[in-house]
Amino acid sequence: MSCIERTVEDVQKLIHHAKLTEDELLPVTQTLEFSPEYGEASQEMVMMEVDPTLLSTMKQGDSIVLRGDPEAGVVLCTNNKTYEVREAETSNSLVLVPQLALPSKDSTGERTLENCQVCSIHYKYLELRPCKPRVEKLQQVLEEHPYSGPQEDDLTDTSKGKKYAWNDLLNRVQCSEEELDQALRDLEAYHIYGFWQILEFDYRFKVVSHILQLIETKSWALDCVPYKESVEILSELEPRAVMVQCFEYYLAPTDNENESGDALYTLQDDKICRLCAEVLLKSADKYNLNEFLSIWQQSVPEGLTTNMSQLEGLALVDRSGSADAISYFPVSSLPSGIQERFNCLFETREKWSIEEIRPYIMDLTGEKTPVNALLTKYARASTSNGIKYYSGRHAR
Amino acid sequence: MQIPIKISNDGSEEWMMLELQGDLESRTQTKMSNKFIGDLHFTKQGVPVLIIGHHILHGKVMDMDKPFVIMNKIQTDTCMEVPESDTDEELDVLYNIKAVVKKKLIFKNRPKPIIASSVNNV
Repeated sequence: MSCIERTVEDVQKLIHHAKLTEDELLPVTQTLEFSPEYGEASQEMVMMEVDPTLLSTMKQGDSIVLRGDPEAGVVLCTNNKTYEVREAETSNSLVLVPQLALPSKDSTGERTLENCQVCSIHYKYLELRPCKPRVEKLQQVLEEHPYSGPQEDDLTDTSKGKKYAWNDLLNRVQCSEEELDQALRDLEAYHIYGFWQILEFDYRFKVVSHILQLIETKSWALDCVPYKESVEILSELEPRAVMVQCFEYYLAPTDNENESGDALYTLQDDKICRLCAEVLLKSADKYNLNEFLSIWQQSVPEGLTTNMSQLEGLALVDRSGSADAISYFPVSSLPSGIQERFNCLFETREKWSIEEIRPYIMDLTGEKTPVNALLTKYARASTSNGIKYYSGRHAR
Repeated sequence: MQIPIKISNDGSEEWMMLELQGDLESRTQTKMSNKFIGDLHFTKQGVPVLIIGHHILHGKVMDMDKPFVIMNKIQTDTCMEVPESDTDEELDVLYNIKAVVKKKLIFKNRPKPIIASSVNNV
């Protein structure tokens, strides 16, 4: 249904002009023209380059969502992956011709015309690049309204910030749903009455303490804590949802059951020790290291053993003075931008050994940028007494 | 803010793309819609030959390593259910995948002029 009156004779005449012979050409000629709607706003289309794997994901009907952020641009998310979306430009014209066909090489017969309409011409398309989930914002968002216990359900209290449900988080945080789920676990977030919240620190410690006290009162072994019985008793103290999730964050299932068929859980030593250390570290600017180590060991339940590796990314040891000192320095309080993070680290301390700095940059690493690559790019290495140290690139 | 991408029933439709150096321009500054562009032939060896105006271009058929999806933006009607707990209005926009482009005809070389042996109106 061409709008152009073009005949086989016209086409043949042009073949002749172009010094082509009909013999060397297949009998079907496709005549190209702009569609009647060409250039209309309703016809506006976006082209996006996708790899074949992503294309098959799309075709399976999996959910695909663009998540935009005013500062960070746009990402595309599948159920479990995040891609950065960028606009690419080309100096070539990309001409879309929906009906255009590749004729079979052995077709013969009289010359025939097929009309093909160009629906749009593009000079830009979207490019996708796999990227890390941008979950830094999650912490920031959850910190707007940490949960501090059932007494806060009083709705008249407007002093606190917004609470976020699952879809609210997806509106703000640029990552896939699976990645968001993982990030919420990493941040120890709780699903409370439909909202995702982190526990206010003192409250979190209170809830964990309930568990520890129960274990002590019942004289249970630390690796034989019955799930149902505990949750039943603890739910009288704090909301059940909080107790259940806290239990699962600080205890791990074993394959065993007690005689009444209740699943047995074991205390996660490292997490409990770390939490106890955090309580101590938060309450003072600085500790003498030896004193700290002894108070810390006394603060954890009997049967648990503290060790320095439990404090990675939480505390800094200063060995420069006459006595070693330790202070609170959580990685969660540092900027999430790579350059800003390094600036902050080198402001805090001029020189870092690899063991010291690793926990503070681990979360910035990517598949192609491991710790070493980050250090090469953002730090300067020097050696002193046989130990390699890293300092700021522009440090004196 | 979130914008879903949906694949419509005819999303498996495959479209073709021409990639040309430079730009298609009309000599007169008129609207392009309905305008004739040119003739596309294929030689018996499968080489695409495009004749546009006084120019002839030889190209080749290429499978694209990374296909393109073609999407259009759809403003859905307000009669769609409003998702609970959500205040952002942007949700009533979505991108619809209409087609996929897996092959293109690429014309890399500069167009050659056709020197008419007999001067006629072409």
